[in-house]
Amino acid sequence: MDPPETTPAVGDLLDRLRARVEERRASGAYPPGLEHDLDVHFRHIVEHRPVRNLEALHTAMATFEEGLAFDAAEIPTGSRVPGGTLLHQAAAKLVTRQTDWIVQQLREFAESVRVMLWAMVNTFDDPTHVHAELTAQIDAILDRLAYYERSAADAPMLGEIVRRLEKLEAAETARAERPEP
Amino acid sequence: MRVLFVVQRYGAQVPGGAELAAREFATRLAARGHATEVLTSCAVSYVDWANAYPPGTSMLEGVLVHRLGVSEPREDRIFGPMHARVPFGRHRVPPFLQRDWMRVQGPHMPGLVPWLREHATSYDRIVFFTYLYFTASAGLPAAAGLVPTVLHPTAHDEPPLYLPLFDLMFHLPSALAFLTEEEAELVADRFHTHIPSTVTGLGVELDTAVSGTDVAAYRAGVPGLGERPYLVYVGRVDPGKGSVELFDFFAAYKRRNPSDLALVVVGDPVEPMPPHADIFITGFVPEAEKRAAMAGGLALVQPSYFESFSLVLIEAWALSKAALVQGRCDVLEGHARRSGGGIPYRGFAEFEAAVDLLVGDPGLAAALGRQGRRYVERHFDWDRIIERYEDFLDRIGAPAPAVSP
Repeated sequence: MDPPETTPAVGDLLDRLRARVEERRASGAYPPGLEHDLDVHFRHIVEHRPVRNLEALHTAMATFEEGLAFDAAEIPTGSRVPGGTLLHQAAAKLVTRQTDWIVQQLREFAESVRVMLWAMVNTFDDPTHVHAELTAQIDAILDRLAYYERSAADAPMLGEIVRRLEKLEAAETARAERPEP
Repeated sequence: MRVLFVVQRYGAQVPGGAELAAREFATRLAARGHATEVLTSCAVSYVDWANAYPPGTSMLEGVLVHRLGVSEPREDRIFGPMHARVPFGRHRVPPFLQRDWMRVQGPHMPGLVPWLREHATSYDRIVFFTYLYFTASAGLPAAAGLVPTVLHPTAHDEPPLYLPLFDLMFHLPSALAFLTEEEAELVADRFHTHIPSTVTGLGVELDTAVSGTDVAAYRAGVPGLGERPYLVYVGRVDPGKGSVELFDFFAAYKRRNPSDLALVVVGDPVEPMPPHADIFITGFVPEAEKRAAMAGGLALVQPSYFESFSLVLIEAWALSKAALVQGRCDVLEGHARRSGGGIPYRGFAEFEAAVDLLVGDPGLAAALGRQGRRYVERHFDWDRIIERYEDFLDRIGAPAPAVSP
């Protein structure tokens, strides 16, 4: 009878492998610069991969989410003045209907803001997010610029434009220096 | 069904994953009774696109092949600096320069667009392979709208994919076909297309028994290899394929871990590589020899950063061989995790540790190989793939809603 086959899981193998690498790294088995030098091909490749760094935006969104817990019960009623706490509690009770209504409105408003902000973050996060019309305009301008820059046939025309411009500038200078009649 | 495949190179002497994929699909559709034709260049090598085959029409494996001449060979003197500036440059370049880059990259075939305009409507489907080259860039706009079209992008996460030049191309075909889920995700992220698509995969021959005699003959044919254990790399020796990095990693590994472990490279270098006592470069070899080379190795190494499928990895698994794969390539890592047949590594330290694991535990290599083989049997059987592909081609012709994978 054949011995039972082992079925190594790639995840477990990777855990073993990475643990071994960390041990070696900690023991100084990799001379300084070795890994960096051997990663030269990878660095050359990744420097061309588009990267979107929206970490700051996501952190701000997390803070925003934490602040969404509106609750009238959170309004402090404590006081250092004798009897003040009782007075605040009574006042709070007196206007419970109003504060609850305001808190409810705040919650609804915050929720709509939350939805809107996430929609904006997701739009930024979308790798295909481009301003097509802007891109097209930039492309058109780049094309025209490059045409002028490389077109030898247009060089005499550009030279003529430069000469006419210089003439106009000279005329303007002469006009500015002429004394007022 | 009358189907035309359009691909940059085609022929028995043509290596290259996308080209092989096109040939497999075309040949297998022809074998199932479809009138299958191919429109391609006369080139064999993508390095210069020199016209190697005569122009005109010929028959190959039941497929009618139409070849058009390449007007000018790719000149590295011009293409090199342009390639560095256009897809690899730091700044966005104007569209005219992107179009020039495409023309210079080639294979520039002035007859392609007129040929398609004249003949497109006589086909039921036109299938384009590889987004990157002139054949799809110029051919797809010429055929789209005249007849249902399919684009197999065979896209990798590489700088050219981000050129605005390709924005329109991915919205033109009637459907997209991908080799892996990862490729489909990459294209969806980059182009945000909503056209029908499917993941076809690629098949491999499962009856690929390699005898001990074949392996011994292969070893005997590589001077100096003898009975040394070896890792094997199969493919082009090209920085983009990760093979230059593999050379560096392996040389560093051997400096730090002296042993008789060797690296056998089955493929031609694009640029000459410095000689190394433990690295044996055999060049491209016939299919049977390639299989023997893989079967005799401890494991296949697939170091490429840019893969849309990796046929060679699937072939190694079909031979029940373990694999070490580039963990920074989503496609390869996805294969390794799904199959349990390979160890993905990221950077030299993990490469070294992974080689140590395999060298130190032959049982592990065998177990990984078995799992790889099971994965291939489950997913990459040609008969099932071609049946699904026929169904896919049928459905894109219908005016019905979307095609689901």
